[in-house]
Amino acid sequence: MSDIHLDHDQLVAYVDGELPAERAAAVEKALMHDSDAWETVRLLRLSANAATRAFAPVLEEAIPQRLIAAAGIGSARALPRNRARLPLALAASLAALAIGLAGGYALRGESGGYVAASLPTEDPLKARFEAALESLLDKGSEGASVAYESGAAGQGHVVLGHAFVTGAGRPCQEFHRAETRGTNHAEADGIACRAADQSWSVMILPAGQ
Amino acid sequence: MDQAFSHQLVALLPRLRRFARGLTHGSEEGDDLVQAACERALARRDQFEPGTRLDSWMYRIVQNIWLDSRRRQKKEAISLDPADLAQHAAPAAHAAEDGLYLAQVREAIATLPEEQRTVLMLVTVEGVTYRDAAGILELPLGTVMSRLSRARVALGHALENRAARKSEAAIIRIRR
Repeated sequence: MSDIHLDHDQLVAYVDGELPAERAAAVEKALMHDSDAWETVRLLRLSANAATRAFAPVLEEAIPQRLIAAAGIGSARALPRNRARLPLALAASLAALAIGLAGGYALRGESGGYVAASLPTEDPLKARFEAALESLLDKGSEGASVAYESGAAGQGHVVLGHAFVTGAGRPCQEFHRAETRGTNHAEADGIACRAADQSWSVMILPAGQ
Repeated sequence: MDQAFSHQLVALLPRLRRFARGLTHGSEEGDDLVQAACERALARRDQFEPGTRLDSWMYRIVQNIWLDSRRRQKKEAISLDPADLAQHAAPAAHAAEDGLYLAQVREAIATLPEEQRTVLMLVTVEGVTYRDAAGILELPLGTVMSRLSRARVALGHALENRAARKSEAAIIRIRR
């Protein structure tokens, strides 16, 4: 088994974990006696790491509106067009916000972390959603959107709706979230309101119709 | 149904943009490519078989449109727009030096032969398996592997040479 031929194709498949276990073990064994092949393995790892990192920032960019429109989602379609059409439930939820955020939580930007008031954040997709929402709230205006994903956990996107001010003078913003986890697709509306310390209080509204 | 399809499509946009960015080496061209792919996907959505992978289907559409546009482009002169290169400057969120290095990596990837670059983007950056990549690109598995290994070795050498030149430059500066 030691006469295995260590050509570049074998080595790249070895580095990428694409070889069956026994074949990978044979390659590993043969590598012990082949310093040229080791050098190639090093280059193959270096290039994989560099290429992955070089394009990772693209995932963090805000998605241009024209692409979301091209995918068949207009912000106008995903969101109520004017405030008069907002469901009555929103008014009730605003009251809940004022009382103390039952079912909501707070986003705090300064520390870079998110302080959960009542919900755990070990859910990676939820953490990505919160990060996406927070950056959108800080930078975006109505119609702006951002997508997020967390590997195998799923992916989604958020679109900002109307900005408004509560009776108590707090600036708030509606948003719409579409999220896919495995085969489950869920849509929800929510609102976020800014506190005096610049943190956001977020409430996801219960499914409407 | 239609909306659900669109939402799944939107959820794929970050990855499709990343793939297209690597193919076109320009953020505007990349987004143009993704936009065309989304439009084609919506127009042909009845051809998508439910239960199969939408991401693979979309990668293939992006790749096909890109190949078509390349064939057309080859008849015209290819020019590099400096404004476009400027968009590859380090993202603000990254430390300047790190961002510079990553910009160099993207430059090096851009100089790879087209077919090698496509496989590199799909497998190494997008994390598609060799088998799925062979399906998406409609190539034999062996061809995927050989293009990938050539791309990765070439990129590895290019980055090593860059690093070597940089340390030489540092040594010269110290000697002065």
